[in-house]
Amino acid sequence: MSADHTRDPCPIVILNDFGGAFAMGAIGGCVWHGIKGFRNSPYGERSYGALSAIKARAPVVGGNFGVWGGLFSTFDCAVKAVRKREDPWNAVIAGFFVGGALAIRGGWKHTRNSAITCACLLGVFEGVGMMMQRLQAQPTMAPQYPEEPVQLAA
Amino acid sequence: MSNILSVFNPPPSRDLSDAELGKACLPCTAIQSFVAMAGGAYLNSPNQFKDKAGKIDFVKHPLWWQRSVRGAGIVLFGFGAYRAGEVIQILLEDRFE
Repeated sequence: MSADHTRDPCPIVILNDFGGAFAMGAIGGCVWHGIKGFRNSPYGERSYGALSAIKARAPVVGGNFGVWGGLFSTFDCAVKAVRKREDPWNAVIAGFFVGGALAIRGGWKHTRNSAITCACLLGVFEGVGMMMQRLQAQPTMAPQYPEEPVQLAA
Repeated sequence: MSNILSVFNPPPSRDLSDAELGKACLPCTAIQSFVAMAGGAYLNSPNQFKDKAGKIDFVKHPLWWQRSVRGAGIVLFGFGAYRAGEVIQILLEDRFE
């Protein structure tokens, strides 16, 4: 099969993924902490409370997402380079390493559990993605028309 | 498409070509070298086992675990240094070709 030239090469795609994940986390953090800050503030101070919660917490959520995305992309590229193959196992192995790397300060049990959980989660995502692709690729059934009556000879 | 999006919309399985793997690719090798050396230095540092008071909890971080992590850090740092050598090799090849 020919190479896919629509994709960025590996060193660039890491930066791309880091930025995308940061933006996703920052936007999600704005919504999440905006609602939380709004609900937890007294009447009359609700919009101010929402704004200050967004300013304080949304960049943190964005940063956490960004670190996850950047590390995942880095490990995905590394696994691709080692295996020289592109298949769903790359994401599962990369997820294992990301979960472990992010939890390394919590001790060996935390690292082990986090790595296994992250790998399983990514395996489930991959499986669901493949299933959806297969469902969408089902051939559409042609409509069945009644057979034309045989013309009788005159 | 990014690596994260390809989790949700997986491309068909295939073997990667030499062009995609980036043989003798200077930016790829330089970034690999930098990331491996930075990761190795991080794994080698004792700070990641210390808590906020600056003490190491030996139940959470037993000696075998600390040594394994530091060993992995040394291997990663060595790999980064090897790749740094390859960066210099590529630069020299470009210069004398």
